Amino acid sequence: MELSINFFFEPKSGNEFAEYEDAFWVRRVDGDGTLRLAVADGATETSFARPWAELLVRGYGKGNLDSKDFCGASSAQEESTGDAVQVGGLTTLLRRLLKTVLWRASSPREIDASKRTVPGEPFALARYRRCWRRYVGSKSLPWYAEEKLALGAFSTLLGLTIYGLDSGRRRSRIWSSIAVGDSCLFQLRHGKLIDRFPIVASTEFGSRPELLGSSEPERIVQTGRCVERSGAWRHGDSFLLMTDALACWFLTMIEAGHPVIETLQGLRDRQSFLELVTHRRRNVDSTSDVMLKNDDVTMIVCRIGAER
Amino acid sequence: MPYSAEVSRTNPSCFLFLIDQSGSMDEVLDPTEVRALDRPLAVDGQTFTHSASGRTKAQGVADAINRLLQNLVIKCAKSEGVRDYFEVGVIGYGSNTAAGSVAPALGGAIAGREIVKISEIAENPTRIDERVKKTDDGAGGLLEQKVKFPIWFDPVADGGTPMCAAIQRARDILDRWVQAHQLSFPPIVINVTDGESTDGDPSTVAAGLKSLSTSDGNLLLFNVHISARGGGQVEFPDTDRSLPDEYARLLFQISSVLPPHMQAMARQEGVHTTELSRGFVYNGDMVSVIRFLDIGTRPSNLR
Repeated sequence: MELSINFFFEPKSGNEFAEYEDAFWVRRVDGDGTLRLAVADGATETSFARPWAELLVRGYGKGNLDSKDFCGASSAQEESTGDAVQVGGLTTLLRRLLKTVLWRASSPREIDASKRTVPGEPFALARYRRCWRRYVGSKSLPWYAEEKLALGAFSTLLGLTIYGLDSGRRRSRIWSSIAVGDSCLFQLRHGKLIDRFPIVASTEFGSRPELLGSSEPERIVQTGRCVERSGAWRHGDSFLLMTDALACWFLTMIEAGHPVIETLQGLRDRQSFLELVTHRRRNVDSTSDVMLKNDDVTMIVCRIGAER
Repeated sequence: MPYSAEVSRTNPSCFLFLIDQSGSMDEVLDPTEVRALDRPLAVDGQTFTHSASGRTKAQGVADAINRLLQNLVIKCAKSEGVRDYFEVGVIGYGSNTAAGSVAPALGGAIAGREIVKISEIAENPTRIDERVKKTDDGAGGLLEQKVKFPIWFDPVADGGTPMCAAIQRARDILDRWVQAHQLSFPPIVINVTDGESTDGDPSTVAAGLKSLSTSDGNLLLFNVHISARGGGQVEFPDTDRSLPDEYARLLFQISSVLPPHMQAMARQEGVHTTELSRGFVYNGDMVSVIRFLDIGTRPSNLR
């Protein structure tokens, strides 16, 4: 199956790339015709939000985190050896810690170590929380950074799994998605928007989205806050995954009847994305144009096969 | 649209606190061990007939300001350090110090400074106290947890209430600030007092202060009237009809109308507001003062 996957990301205007706090994941799973994509938006007002967002997209991308981790009990899974294309830019230390944690998680001793999880806390999520704590705990910090760390980091998470890419059977061509917060998925067919998830209208975006916390067990997402959706795909369909600022702009443009789908599908490189984002951030609200909020922006565009 | 400017390191926001340090701020909040005095005692125009133990209004305000500074620092703390989203000043008025009756009130290495970047605040507390915080243990009990409590500002209670001079000083400081930060969210001045101005009607100087502006709107002046007596508290009123006296109405009249994002934040905290609600609390206890400071300093658009 021919796949076209492009990913785009830019930090807030005026910020450095090192200050970009979104994360994303693009990964084809070997052998079973499955593709996993994820984006996450680390909360600006927290510290070490990017490592937390990276851990979440990695957890989803490797199949270690799924809706059952946010909505109920779970056990750890083996690390897959798929051909990962990880492009979120994990730091070396974080990679090393992940390897350690994932190796330990595969041993029975670790799985039995219930004292290290909070009762009711899904094991896989607890594992990623410990990983984050080890990462941030390796640094010597002044009083304010310690206080901030105690509050934890927060992030949204949007994951998409596309099944049946190697299957000739139409019934196998399905997708499933989970979302915590306001990062969004859009499905396109014949140049039209046919599905949107979890937010369906631009007016639903607010300043307090649901978030996954790195430290607070009581903030574990319960049923209702983590939402799931599934559907079918066809040859020629495209999926767009976006963090909130771009998703809000996209939906607003759609609602106003602007040909925004062609604009986004026409993006081919970082320069064209940068020009679009820079231009739209400068626009003011009017009947013809919609302003893009100055936030980190991330988008994955995945097109399956040729359109029929 | 006014009051929508992004708060960033390039275009920071500014908070200036004017703190009443007059003698009446020595009055005890939540008094315990109340005892009758042998003879009435006159302090700062008020007559006292009893003594009591407990935290004074000056101590309560100092705690609230130190806690607010701590929260602002933590809000700006990122993995690489503290981002200078805010510039902050604390001006005390009332106490007759060597610097005069209206003077910068932060201590330590930043003593004497009128406006200080938040990263400098973070690095320069005068000391870090340890306090006990009680938290829910999840089993119906309370856990005592030691927490760090940085101190930048110590309580003082002495002298009169030269509010006009304090507001004029704020205007002098912020006139320079707005000229240098025309693209910033306008400065927010929060005046915390328990009494009547002793150097005249502050209406004219307050109007002058509120005439300062950036391209995002006029300076915002908010007033907090604190009380040790409790009862009859009025938060973010949109009319002066429920206020008991001329002086309370005067503080209401010089207070700015809340921008829409602060009205929304107040509503989220369960406080009724309207489009005409003003940044004013009358007869507030320390809980309402802390809530007011939080709402009055929370940015709507932090980059």
